[in-house]
Amino acid sequence: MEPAEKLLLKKYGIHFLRTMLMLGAVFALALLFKPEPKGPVWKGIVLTAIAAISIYFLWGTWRIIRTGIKTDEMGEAIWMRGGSYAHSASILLASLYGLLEGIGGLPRVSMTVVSIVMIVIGFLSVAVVQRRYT
Amino acid sequence: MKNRLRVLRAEYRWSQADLAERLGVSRQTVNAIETEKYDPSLPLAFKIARVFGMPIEALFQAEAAEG
Repeated sequence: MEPAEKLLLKKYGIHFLRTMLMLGAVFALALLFKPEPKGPVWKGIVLTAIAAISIYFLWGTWRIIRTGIKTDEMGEAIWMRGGSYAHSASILLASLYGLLEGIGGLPRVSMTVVSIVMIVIGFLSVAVVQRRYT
Repeated sequence: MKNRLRVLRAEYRWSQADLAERLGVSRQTVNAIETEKYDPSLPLAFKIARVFGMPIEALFQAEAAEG
C-alpha cells in the first residue's frame, strides 16, 4: 500500500470511529436517561434514534427549501458541507433532546408524541419540496 | 480512463467532500471519478487539474489504445 493510500485509510478510519463514538454517546444517553423511569431500555434507544433521523430529515428539507436543488454534471445534488454539519447537528440535538427528556426538562410532553410529530412534519415537508422542485 | 485523483487527494489531506467543494460538484461525483466509474467532462477535468496545479495528462491516463 502506498503512503498516500495509508494516509487516506487512516483518515477514513478516524472518521468512522468518530461517527461510531457520537452514535455511542447518543445511545449511552438513551440508556442513562430513559424516557420513562421504569420504561424499557430499547424504547429510549429507538426514540432517540428516531429523533436524530427526524432532525436530520428536517434539516435537509430546510436546506432544499432555502437553496433549491443544485445538481452537477452527474445529476447528483450538490450539498457542499451541509451533509456533515447536518449529521453532527442532528446527533447533538438528539442527544440534548434525550438528555432533557431524561432529566425531566420536557415533563409534560411525551417523547413518543414529539417523535411522531417530528416525523409527520418531516414527511409532509419532503412531499411539499418534491412537488415544488421535481 | 485511469486517474491519480485519490492518491493526490490524500497527499493534500483533503476529504472527498473537501475536493467536491473546491470543484463545485457532489461528493458522490468525486467518488465515482476516483473509482473510475465515471469519466469527468472536459471542463471538470480542467478544473481538477487547476485545483491540483498540474496538467491534465499528469492526472488522467487513457487506457491502452486499441489497435
